[in-house]
Order: sequence, then C-alpha cells, then structure tokens
Amino acid sequence: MSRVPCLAAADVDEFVSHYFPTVGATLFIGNVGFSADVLHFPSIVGALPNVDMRFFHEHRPGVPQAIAHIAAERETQLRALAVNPPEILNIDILADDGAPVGGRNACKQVQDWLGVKAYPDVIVDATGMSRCTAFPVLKLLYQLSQQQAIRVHLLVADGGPHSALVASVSNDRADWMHGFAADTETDDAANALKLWVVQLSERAGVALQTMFRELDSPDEVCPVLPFPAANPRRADELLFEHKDYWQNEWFETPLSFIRAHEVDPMDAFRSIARLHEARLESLAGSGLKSQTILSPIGRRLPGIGMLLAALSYDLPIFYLETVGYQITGTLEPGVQSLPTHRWHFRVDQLVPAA
Amino acid sequence: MNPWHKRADEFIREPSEFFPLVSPQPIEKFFHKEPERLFDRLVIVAGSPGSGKTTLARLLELRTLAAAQDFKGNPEVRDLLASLAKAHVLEDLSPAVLALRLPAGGQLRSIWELPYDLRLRHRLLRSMIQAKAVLGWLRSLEDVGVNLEGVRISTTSHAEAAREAVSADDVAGFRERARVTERAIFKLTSALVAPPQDSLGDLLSGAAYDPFAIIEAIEIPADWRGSVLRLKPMVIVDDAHDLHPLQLEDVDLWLRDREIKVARWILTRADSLNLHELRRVLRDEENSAPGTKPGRDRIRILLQDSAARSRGTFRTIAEDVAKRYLQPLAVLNRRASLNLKSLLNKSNPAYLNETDLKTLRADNVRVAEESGVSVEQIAAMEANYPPETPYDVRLGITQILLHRELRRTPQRSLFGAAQEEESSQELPRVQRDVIVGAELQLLHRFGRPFYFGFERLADAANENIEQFVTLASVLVDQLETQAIRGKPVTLDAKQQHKAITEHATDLIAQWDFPYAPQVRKLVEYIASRCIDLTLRPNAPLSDGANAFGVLLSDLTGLDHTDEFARVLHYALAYQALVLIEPYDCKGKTWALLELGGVAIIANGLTQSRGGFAEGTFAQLKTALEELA
Repeated sequence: MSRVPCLAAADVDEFVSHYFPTVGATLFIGNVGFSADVLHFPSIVGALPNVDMRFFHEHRPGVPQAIAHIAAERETQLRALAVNPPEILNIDILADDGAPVGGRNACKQVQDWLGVKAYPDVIVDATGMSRCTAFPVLKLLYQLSQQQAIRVHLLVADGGPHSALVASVSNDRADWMHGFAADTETDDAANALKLWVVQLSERAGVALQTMFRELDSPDEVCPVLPFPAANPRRADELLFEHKDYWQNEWFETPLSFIRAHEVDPMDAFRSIARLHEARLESLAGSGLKSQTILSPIGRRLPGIGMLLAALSYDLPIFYLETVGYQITGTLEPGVQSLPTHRWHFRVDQLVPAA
Repeated sequence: MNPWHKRADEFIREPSEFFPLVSPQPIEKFFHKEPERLFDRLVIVAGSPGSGKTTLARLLELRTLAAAQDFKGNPEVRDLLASLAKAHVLEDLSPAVLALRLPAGGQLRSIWELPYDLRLRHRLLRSMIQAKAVLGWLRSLEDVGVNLEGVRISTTSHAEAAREAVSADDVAGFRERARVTERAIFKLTSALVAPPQDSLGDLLSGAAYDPFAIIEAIEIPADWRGSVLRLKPMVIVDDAHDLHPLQLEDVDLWLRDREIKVARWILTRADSLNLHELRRVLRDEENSAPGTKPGRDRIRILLQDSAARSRGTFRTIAEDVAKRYLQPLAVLNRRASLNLKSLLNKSNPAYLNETDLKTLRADNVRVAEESGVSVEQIAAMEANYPPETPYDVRLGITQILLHRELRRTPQRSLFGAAQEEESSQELPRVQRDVIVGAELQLLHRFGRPFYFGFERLADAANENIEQFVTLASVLVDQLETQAIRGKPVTLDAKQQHKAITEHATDLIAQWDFPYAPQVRKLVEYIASRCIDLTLRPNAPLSDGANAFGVLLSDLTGLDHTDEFARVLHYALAYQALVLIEPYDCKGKTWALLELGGVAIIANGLTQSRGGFAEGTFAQLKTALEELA
C-alpha cells in the first residue's frame, strides 16, 4: 500500500511552529472562507518574514449577502495576520455558462506565483478551500515535486461541520475534477469495469443521482459512510435518507458500504487503497480493466483521504461543483478558536503505488 | 426492476427491458413528418430534462436496434417497431443506422478553456467529436458481436487522399487513427496547466482529423445477420447545452454543411437556446441567419409543446406509459388491472364533514342576507348547477355566486326605499371553471381533496413523461403496498391527494440546480399572488390563477446578462415555470410565467391555463432581493 507521511492534532501545531521559522522562502496558499477555521494556520505562519501569503477568494454566482459579508470580514482578518503584504486574488469557480473552471484558474495562478521566485516549501491550507480548487492545486504541486526540489505541505483544520444554517446549492452538470480525469474519457477505458466510491452526505440526493446518471451507471457503487462519527447514528441516518438510490438504482447491499472515520482522512485513504488494490488483484488475468472513480461530497476530511488515494493511485475524481449557498436563519461570523482537528501531510513524500 | 423508481429510462441498460417501456406514440409523432429529413441534415432537438431526448437517442443505439428482432410479433412493441421502420431506422427488423450518443459535457466543453485562439479550439472540438464518433461506432459494432475485420468504410467518391488521411482502407488503422487524435486532444484538456499554443508542434498534426467529410456508410459483413448491411453512421450530440455557447454555435454551423453524409442530431435542453431563441422556437419560427435557409440545412424540434398543449394527447400517452411501467410489478399484476387510470379513478371524492358543511351553510345564509338574495333565487341559481355536482361543492359555488351578487348590489341606504327585486330571468348554466374554483376554495378552507384521479395527475406533468412517472411513483408505491397487505388495490381521493401534494412539496424542497433557492422564492411569490386571486370570495377568475403575467415589452426588454435573467433561465429549464407568450388578454399582449405542474399541486392551484396575476419583472426582482 502507498505510504502517506502525516501528522495530526498537537503534533501539527508543534511541527508548524518549529519547522517553518527555520526554512527558506515559503509560499502559503490559502483561501478566504467563511468559517473562522481559515484563520488558524495563517495566525501561526503569517508572522514569519519568510512566508509569502497568497489567498484565493472564490467567486460563485448566487452567494447570499450574509456570506459575502462574512468573507469580507475574514479577508480583513487575514490581511492583518500577514507580516508580508498578502495577495488576495479573486478566482471564478464557474464560467459564464455555468461550466466549472475553478481548478483550471487556480492552477494557472499557482504556476504564476511559483514563477515569481523559488520556493523550497509550499503550504496549501485547504481549510476553507473548495475541493475543486485545492485538489488540482495539490496535484500540480505534487507533479512539480516529482521533478524539482519542492516540499509540499497540505494543512487542514476542521472545527466541526458547517453551520446547519448554510446549505450548498449544486451545479446541474457533473464533471471530472480538473486534472483528475485519468484516462476515463478515452476509448482505452470505455469498457473498463467502473467502481464508484462516493461519500454519502446529508441532502445530497439530487447530486448523487446526477453523478450516477452522468457516469452512465457504473458497474458497482461503494458508498462511504461516516463511522465512527460524533453522531453514532449518522451513518444509519444517511443510509435511510438515500435508500431509494442505493437500493433501487444502484442495486447495492449493505455489504458494499465502506465505513470510514468521519474526521480521519487516513481511514478513508486506507479503505480506498485496500479496495482498489484488491480489485486490481482479482481482475488481473481476466483481461478486464478496473477503474475506481472517487466522488467526495460532504465533510472535508474524508474527502482529503480520497485526494490522497487519487494522487497515490492516479484515480479519477468525479464531482459536482457547489454553485452557491442557501441560508436559513441568521448567520453569525463565529470567532477564532482552536479547531478540534488539525492535519498535516507531506504530499511530496507521498509514495505512489507500484 | 421497478421502472417507477428508475425515474429515467437511461438507467435501464438492457434493450430487452428498455423496448417494452417505450411508449410508441411520442416516437411516432417525432418521426411522423418526412422522416428522411431527420437523417440528411442537422436536426436540433430541444426539450426540458425528462422530455424524452435521451430515450430517443438510446432507442437509436445499435444495441437497442439489434434487439428489435427479438420483439418480432410482440404486440406491446409492434407499433414502436413500425414507427422505426417507417423512419428507415430499421430495415426488415435489422438496424439501418449506426448511432452514437455523445455526451457533450466534460472534455468537449473543457476544450473551450484551453488558452488557444478561437479557430484552433473550434478545430480541436470538431476533431474530438469525430474521433469519439468513429471510436464509438466501432465499439458499438463490437458490442453486438460484429467481427470488425470484415467491416468496410464506405466513403464519397474522389476522396482518396482524405481516405488515406483517416486510414479508411483498414478498420484497425481507421480505429488507431481516431485513437491517436483522441489521446492527443485529451492530453491537452487533462493537463493541469495547458501547454502554450506555440509549443504544440507535432501534437497538432495528430489532432487534424476530418472523417465526416468523406464517410457515407459502414458496411457490416454477412456473417452477422446473414446479409451485408449498409448502415448510415449517425452522431447524436447529447446535452449540447453543456458546451460553451460559442462552441455550440460553431458545431451548429459545421454540422449544417449538407456535404456531410453522416446523420447528425444535437439534443439540448431548451435553455441552451437563449431566451430570444427559445421564444422563437416556442412560436415555431425558424432562424434565417445569413447563408442559411430555414428548414433546408437545419431542422429544430421542440419536444414539449408547451404553448399549444393538447392535454388529451398527453393523457393517452401517460396512460400507455403507466400500463407499460406497471407490467414488471408482479405483485400488482397478480392483484389488479394494469390500468392506472381505472385504479385511480374508481375512488369517490371525499365530502366535507357535517361541521364544515354547517359552517359553509351559515356563511351562505349570511352572504345571502347581505346581498339581498332570497331563498327562491338561490334555489333558481342552484338549479343551473350540473346535477352530478356534489353537495359540498354546490354550497361552494353558491357562495361564490352570492359574493358576486354582493359586489353587484349597491349599498343600501338605511333610510332609502327598498330596491325593487329584479325580475327572475334565465340564469346561465354554471361554467366548469366556477365549479373548479369552488373546489379549490374548499381545498384551501377545509382541506377537501382536489388532486385525485388520473386526469389531474397527468395534467400536472407538463407533458413531460419523466415528471409524470416521478409524480405517479408515490401513488404506485401505495397501491403496491395495498396489494402486498392483501387489501383492496385502490386509493381514495384523500389518500391520493395527500400523497401527491406531499410528494410535490418534497420535490420542490429537493430542487438542487443553480439558482434553485432563487427559483423556489420566485415560485413562492408567484404562487402567493395566485392563491390570493384564487381565494377571493367572488372568484373573479372563476378557477383562479396559476401564472404571473408581465407585458410582453417587459420580457423583450429583459437584460440577458442580469442575474434575474439567469434565475428565469433555470426556472424555465427545469419547468418550475413555463413561458407562455404571446398571450392576448384585455387588449394587451402578455407573457405568462405559468407555474409548473409540481408547483401548482404544491400550492393548490388550478391546472387550467389563462388565469394570471398581473405584475412586472421589477416586482419579481424585489421578491428575490428579500432572499439575498
């Protein structure tokens, strides 16, 4: 199995506080999110003179004013944390016609930033960053790290699920994540046996149905359920919520489910890695090609596990972009506190599967 | 397999399961007029999600057509096969076309994002479509068991050089050439950062590919069906709305070339045509761009006929679809007839209870007194109601008519002389829409069931089969449960109404597409205006309203870049609203935003067309701003 060097919880704080003051020029890539968690890592490394802070400000149509106000407030807070003048750059997540373009725009921007000066260390703080932005950027950096000496640090802080008052609005067209199409759409893969590993999430029924349809009904589906979880019944509740899909459309049984820790990316990573390797082994010699397709939706941390699996095994990621948010009630900005879950991954040291 | 839960035919993969589920009438209607024109020029088929575009494409796929022989003599499929034969899609029950459905999203759309000049991007897209078509055709042949070694590519005469460029003399080479093209372009679109244009070099030569210019037919050797088959190659670009508008424009221009012998269809959601174009198509007008001639090089077909809807036709189609979809449900099959219409229509309407009737009667007495209408006059009025009208509805109608009378009666002076009673005159027979108006008022006031019976279910589907199946599925589930429990396979009016209104409310809550919260808000606002009109005691519009009307000038003056226009665009695309225009009323020309069938049910409104709340786009924008 592929190896992923990582740290968690207090080890992350210790590493970040001790390591980055001792290294050379460091590029920090973060995002202006609306959760207060986005302030955590910038508040530690922002004061270092060797760290250049760069932030994306993701732009989507149909974002309510309340969220825009909180994001503006976060932007001010992030600027105040940086000792070097930070750069905050607006990137469009969707093109005028609704096509997802966030990943492509982000990669282009990161390449420009890397061209300004040599950075031996690059930090990607995926805390408030959309998957469509963070994942392609990390893949770009991972590929660069295989060719030149760049240490790529992935940091994630998670203080708990988003406010129940905010619900995502999905796009109506699913697509391969930028840079994660593998060979899915070529004739070489047309007859591959498709296994779809999809994270189940609350209120994501329509998104699940759209993806399943656009994948042209994959041969097998392995839904990922959050267990263990803060709410021990969450997995059962999800099973019940989406029973119409997994029972009547995907024709799956509970034997196909993957249970992965709600806040441990490595659990999701190991489960996917085991599944993928076992499948390759069992299909070896049959002449059939296996294709494992990943779809992260819902909580961020299991999604990070999917990213690590996708990088290690060159797996495709299929997803549905968030195009806006809906708020029910009054949204409070929230104050900065120590996020419960902190993770650090050395993406450049990720050992790809043989 | 329960097709009611599959919701979309595209999930059903086996042709043996697919064929019996396809209702022949829409297909017959589609191929009815000059079918040969559908295969010799560009055809654009537009419709909302679920209107049958993909079903049509799947029907033409080789593996579906190849199964046609298995249904020879099957009475359920006979009409469908006859329509396909008439359209020359089948010849003697063997396939005559080799169609490939090519989804337009994903990699095709991403070509637009490459940092290259416009001409190169268009060229890459055309090459990619052709490479994927060629690879798809050969794959389809392999899937049905054709030995590719014997396949011959037939091209136009005097095209030797072009034939050589695509390696058409040898199928293996022909395939490899297409693969090279596909891989070359895929490498560009899948790169995290695309290489600059000036570094492309050799890669571009691999991407230069134009087999559509020469291919005429693909010949299948006799070992597959006993005789050599000459298939017309066909490409169906599905979900073309996923392409960038300028890409679609270029593909449209390219495929209009009458020199191309490959049959070509573009299937798109109606909203990819911009609002201006959509309005034109709804009015069945053709666009006459420079260098083109309407109907000569392109045909446009709108799948749902929303402006001039013919409910009778759709009810018949829905009945047939229901029959086909009920067939695989063994439990129901054993216990009941396979006619959803008769299962739903055999229930009697639920009447109001005595307490509610008492309230209604007391109200009528009060209003009669206020309007000075005598008991005899009321009796005369009620004599004109259709005799089959239920008692509670009669009271509701009387109340509406009394309120109308009240509005006509001038305020009496306390001291003035009593007005002379009008002489009794022939009262007109009460119209059907007043009866519906009374029923709707009873629904809102007392919860009297309204949406029950097959006709109201079918009318709520906006002529969209998928929407019909989605709405009906909840009733079929309940009927199946009754059958499993050994109870009578029937649902009374109350059960039907409750199930379908709850389902409609859930469907709206589940809307998950761009601007869905705004669309929900728009629907909510329009519905509240319509409810207000419907519940007015004198029912000024008889059965009330279900639409929001703006002057046509408001619509034509709409700024298409405005966010409101985008909200409207998605509302129309997903049939949350239906655009009816031009609509002449009260000496003015209007555009009506009629609520979709699901929203009508969820809000308890009439299913008839015509009643609308007057307003402006400015009012709708203000309603949306509250959401922000």
